Parts: sequence; C-alpha cells; structure tokens
Amino acid sequence: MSFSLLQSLRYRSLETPIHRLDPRVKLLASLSFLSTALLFGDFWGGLLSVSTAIILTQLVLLGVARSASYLLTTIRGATPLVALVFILSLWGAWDLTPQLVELIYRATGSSIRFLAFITSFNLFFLTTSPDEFGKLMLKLRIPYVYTFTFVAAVRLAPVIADEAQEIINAQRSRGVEFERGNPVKRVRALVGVFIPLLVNSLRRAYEMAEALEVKCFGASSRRTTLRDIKATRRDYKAALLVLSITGAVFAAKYLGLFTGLP
Amino acid sequence: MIEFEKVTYTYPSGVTALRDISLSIGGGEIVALMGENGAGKTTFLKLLNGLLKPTSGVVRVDGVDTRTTTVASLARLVGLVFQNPDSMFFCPTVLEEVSYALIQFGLSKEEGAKQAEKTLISLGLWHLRNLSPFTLSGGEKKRLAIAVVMAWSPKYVVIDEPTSGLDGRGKRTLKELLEELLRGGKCVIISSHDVEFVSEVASRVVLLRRGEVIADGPSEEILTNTELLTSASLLTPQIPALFKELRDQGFRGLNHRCIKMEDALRELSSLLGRPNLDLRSGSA
Amino acid sequence: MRSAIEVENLSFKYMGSEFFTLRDVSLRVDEGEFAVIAGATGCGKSTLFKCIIGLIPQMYQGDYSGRVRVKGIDPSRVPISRVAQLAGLVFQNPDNQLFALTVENDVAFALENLGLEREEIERRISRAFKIMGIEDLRNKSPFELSGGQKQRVAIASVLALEPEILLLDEPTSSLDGATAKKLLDELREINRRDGITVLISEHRLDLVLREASRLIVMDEGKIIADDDPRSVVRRLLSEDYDAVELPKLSKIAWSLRLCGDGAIPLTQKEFVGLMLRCSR
Repeated sequence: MSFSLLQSLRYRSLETPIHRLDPRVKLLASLSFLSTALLFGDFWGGLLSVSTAIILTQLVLLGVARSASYLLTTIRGATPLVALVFILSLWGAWDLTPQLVELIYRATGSSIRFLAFITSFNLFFLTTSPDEFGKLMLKLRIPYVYTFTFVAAVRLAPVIADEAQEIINAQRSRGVEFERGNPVKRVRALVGVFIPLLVNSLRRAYEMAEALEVKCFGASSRRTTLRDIKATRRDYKAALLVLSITGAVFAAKYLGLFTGLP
Repeated sequence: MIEFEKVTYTYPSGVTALRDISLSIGGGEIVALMGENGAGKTTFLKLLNGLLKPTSGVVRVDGVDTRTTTVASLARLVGLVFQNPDSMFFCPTVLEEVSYALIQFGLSKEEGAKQAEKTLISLGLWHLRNLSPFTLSGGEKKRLAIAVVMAWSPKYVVIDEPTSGLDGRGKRTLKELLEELLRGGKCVIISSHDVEFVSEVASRVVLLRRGEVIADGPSEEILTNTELLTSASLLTPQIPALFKELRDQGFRGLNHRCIKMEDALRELSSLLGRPNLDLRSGSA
Repeated sequence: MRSAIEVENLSFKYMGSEFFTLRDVSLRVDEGEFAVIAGATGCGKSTLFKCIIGLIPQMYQGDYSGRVRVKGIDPSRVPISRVAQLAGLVFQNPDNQLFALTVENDVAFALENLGLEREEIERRISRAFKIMGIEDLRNKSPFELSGGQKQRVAIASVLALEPEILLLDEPTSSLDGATAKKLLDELREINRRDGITVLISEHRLDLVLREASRLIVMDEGKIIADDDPRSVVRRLLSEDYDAVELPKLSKIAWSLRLCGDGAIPLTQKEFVGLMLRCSR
C-alpha cells in the first residue's frame, strides 16, 4: 500500500505544457490544493465538495501532463487509508449524530477531504524533475549543501539499488536463500547483503569526496549557477490564475456562500 | 550439458536483453561469451543458474528446466562468480568466506572447513586464510571469489569478466587456474571483452550483439575474423591483426587461424627459415 | 622544455598502513608530453596521482616526505581547487564523479563552484563539449549514457576547468576494446591539438604506447623504469618482467631476436619492416 503511494510520486520526463511550467507555479498550485483541502470540510460534506473539485482539477491537469494514471495509482494505493479515515470518522461521531444518513454523509466528506489532502502534491512531484526541484531549493534560499545532497541522492539512488540487487544475486548464487529457513539463518543472510553494501558505500563516499575536491566544491563562498529557473509570461499568468481561483474560493467561504448548499 | 532453446529474456522495464538464443554447452571446454558492454553477456550468465528465468524458451541444466527449480539447488551445479568480488564478501576471514557456502549447502562446520582448506591450498590462497577478505589485493580477491565457488565443486564454472582489474601477472595466474579446471573435467564459461585473454584460453567463442548470437564457433575461427569482431565493437586480437598485416605485405604461408603466442612464434620462426631457433622465453 | 610536473624523492605511507605506498619516487613530466604510467595493481599509481593533485596530504594523512611541484606550485600547501585548475584529475569510475542530473550541469559543476560568471561558464563548457565531441549529450541525464559516454563527460567536466595538465587514472578500465581505443586516440589528439600535457595510467599498452612520449613503470611504490617507450619495453623484455602486459608484437620480435641491438617495434609497420630485413 505505502509502496504504491510512493511509486506514484515518480517523476516522468515528458514534454507537456504542465511539465514546462515553472516549478514555483506548480508548488503554488499544490500548496493551494493542500490549504483548500485543509480549510474546507466540516461545513460542506458529501461527494459534491470542494475536495472533490480539487481531485478532479488535479486529474485534469495531470491528464494534460499525460500522467493521470499515476494519480489514479496513488488513489488506489491510498484506498485502505481512506477507508480507515471513513471508519474512524463514523465511529468518532456515532454518539453526536443520531441520523445514520447524515453520519455517512459526513464520513464520506472527511474521507474525500483526506484524499485531496494526501494527493495534493502529486501535481508538483509528478511533473517536476529532481533537477528542477534542486533549482527550486536554491531559489527558496535553501543552502547549497542541502541542494547538492538532494541532487546527489537522486543521482545515486538507482546506482545503489542496482548494487544491492547485484549483491543479493551474488549471495543467492552461493546458495543463500532469503525466503527460507529459521529467523537466525535469515538474519545471517541479510548480513551478507548489508556488509558488502556498507563496504561499497564507504568506498564510494571516499571516491566522491575526492572527486568533489578536484571539482573545487566549496571553493567560492559565492557559488554561481549556469541555469536558473526563470518565470515567463505564461508562468505569471498561470500563477495569477491559481491565486485568483484560490482567492475566490476562500472569499466565498468567508462570505458564507457555501453554507446554503447541500 | 546446458541447453538454451529459443531463449528470449526481457527485463521488467521492457528492454529485451537476449533474443531467440539456441545453443548448447557441454563439458570439457572453455567457452567465452563476447560482445561490447550491454550486448547481453551478463544476462546470459544469470540465466545459467536461474537468477533470471527466460521470458520465453527454455534453459536446461543437465536436463533440468531452470524454471522448475531454485537458484540454491542450481548453484550446486553451476557456480557463478560475479564481476565485482566486493559484492560477495562479508565474513571476517578468508577461510570462513569459503566455508560459508559449504555450510549453506548442508556440510557440517568441520567438513566445511576441511573442504575450504583443500580449495584454498589448490588455489594458492592458503597463506591468506586468516586475513579479512577486504584487505586482499585485486588479484587475490578475484581468486578468492573463484575459490568460494570452486569449494563446492560445481560442474560448470561461470565467471563474469574474469580479467577485470587484473594485471599481467594476475591474468597469467588466472589462465593457469582455468586450464587446471579444464583438466579437472569442468566446463568453464566466461564473459569477457578482453580479446587477448580469450584468444589465449578459450576454445570456443560465442559472439553477442544487441542480444543476439551473431557467431558461435572455435576461437581460431572467430577471433581471426576482423569484420565479424568489428561488427560486435571488438578489436581484433594483436596476433591475428599482425598476421593479416604480414600477409598483406607479401609474407606467404602464414596460418590464417593463428591466435596464440606459442603458435605465432613457431609460425614466424619457420617462416624466417630458422625453425630450430632457441626462442627466448616469450611465454604468453 | 619547461616542466609541468616535478616529483622529487616522494615517499608516502597512509595512516594506519604498515607499508609505504610510494617509496622515493622522482619524476619529471615536461609540458606537452604524453606520458604513460604502467604497473601491476597496487603499485602506487593512484597514490601518485593523489599526491600530484594535493589530495595527499590534504585529504589523506600519513607519512609524507619529498617535494612535488605542479607548474611550480606546491600542491600540499595551496587549496586543491587551485591545483585543480592547473592539473585536472579524471578517476577510474565515472559513476562516482558525476553528480548532477544533466550532462550540462555536470560539466558546469566545477565552474559554478568557483563562482564564475554565467557567460564564462557557457564559453568554457561549450569548448569542453567540443573538445570531447559530446555536444549531442548536453541535455541528457547521466542514466541515459553508456560507459564510454560517461567517461567522456567526466573528462569534459575536468577540461572545463581549462587545466594545462590532464591526469587520468585508468580511464578505460571499464570500457570494451573499440571504445577504449577511440578514447585513447582522442586523448592523444587533445594532447597534440590543444597542447595539454597528459599523464595517464593505462594497462592496454598495445593501444597507447606507440603514440606515447614516455613510459613510466611502477612496482611496489617505486619507479623501476622511466624512458622513451622503446627503451623501456626492451629493458622489461630483457628482464622477463611480466607484471605489465607488453604489446605482443614487441614480445614476438624480442623472442625471435628480430631486432638485434636496434629498436624494439611498437607498431605493425615497424614489425613488418624488421621481418623484411630479416628474411632478406
């Protein structure tokens, strides 16, 4: 379950209008989804809600980005969690509301709200490359060391995953069985993966440190960047659109426009 | 006998690494699987002991379909040595490293240690028995990785890129070791793009290109075929390349299938009309 | 000839090690040379490179004695980033020296670290891409590259620093023959055309030697031979030295006593010439 949740956050390199948007705009949109989902809930439940609108909006946007199926995967992965929220909110409100219909109505509202909440960053993660993410971190004035650590981790993760697979294969080839035997044997089998992985990682860490030195890492306190994220007119328009819709929804809420609806 | 019958292997990512391979490998030969990086050599080796199962087609080891059995039981027959020895070692000493797999295969501690001792002695590693595997040199690590697999005496010894990280001396020791295995009745399968090493040890070459077998035959035939080798992004070994140049320059009567150092020396000295020349030690 | 690298009586023992990895090494590489270092694994080649660039003794401590100069500068005393702009070091494993998520960022990485202006970075990386002939890889991710391409990117990322000296530690060890040959030929071309001094450790002597100006052989931390390649090959053959793999045609010529006291052949052409003379 949690695995497919993570899987769905995988960036795919595609050329779509959404992928081309400035990552800051997408961050803004995702933040807007998140805050709207947080603020709207109790007053207005059921299927036809602001939360439903958020999910549908994301689905459309990700459809344009040709990644809608990934959002559906997330939703599918989240189903057990959502079901849990449903049961908990039913149970929690049992004594307060005598009417079963209203109870279900409210619980459904909370569940969808929860779903909108946990999927709110899908748009951002599915369409922002790790590289852009690194640049965004710099733009947000996060110190370069953290940005570098993030980028290097993304760069190395598949390399280390391959290495781990290779070690597992090597141990299986000498008769080690990971799925069989008593617990002691299994732990011992895992040690056989862990130690080579550790040794290789240590060596890698040294080699990387050497390479960083000869590439003048930290040589200047004023590091420059070759490529920056630059907002275009299109990005400004998109940001304006996001802000005005969010603003309108919030205004409507505080003006009490939603209370009359079912 | 290991048999491949119309074997295709496609990775879960959708990349087809091997396509429609049919061949068989029997006892008493050193077979070299050759091709550029990414040609499918390592995939081929992993199919031999069941780490990978064919997407279509059948791989049989001594008549057993690899899909019907486990890696652990196939590993007794097919010993696979990985390219990077560091992806294997984790025991505190060399001796324990070798006996570990033996105990996995059901030997008692004492029997395991005894068998490990025998193996280490025969591979010239006995003096290192109490050292940590991580402190060994590159060549010693490589030999230890082979020892680990040899300890349970598999019928097929499979080595991925045996010469990577080895210097001249290391390669010579390895050559002697492989010949020793052959004499002991083993079938040795290696993957390599080291044409010089292969031309000195292998009797048969299987040439892969983008997942397909483009040639399979005696090494004298394949390693002298420059066109074929070039199409697989391999260089022609030095001796056949030199012999071709000599023929082009008008030297006649040179054997077209000469790839080994000893043979080259014999050919050339008789060509120069001094067949009884006392050759200076020019071992390969 | 002005010297690019000077090493005098250099000895080094890693902290915690029982043996000296380098023992009284002296070496001088002149500007514009294409010098090859050969030796068995563990002979001290990599350690020597680390001393030249200053990683030893700055990053690795131990017993260090002797004197090293890179274009007159003492690499043990100035920041490594300064040495790196004079002498660029390319390591064996490209995966551990490429950090960015696009090729372009990787080549620009060191220049960004130095805080250079954007136009200057742009100019330098364009030049580096051109030298290595990898303009088409510019926007690729490192995951899409083959081994040979990765190594080219690694070299370009060092060339972007515009060093006068290029140090390469076994750059072809993970490459197949045809790819290795192509890369070595290109390095020779860079040396000739761009005037960059090259010091390379390499075990495929049959591919690299005929173009080299020097062959240096190390064994157990010592330099045991350092001369023009033909003289060194002759000496190693006469001593029946087997730790490095000498070109087979040189071995054949020696075993058949084709060359007498003359030069040992390193190319097919030279070998054919000798055969013609001997069969006459």
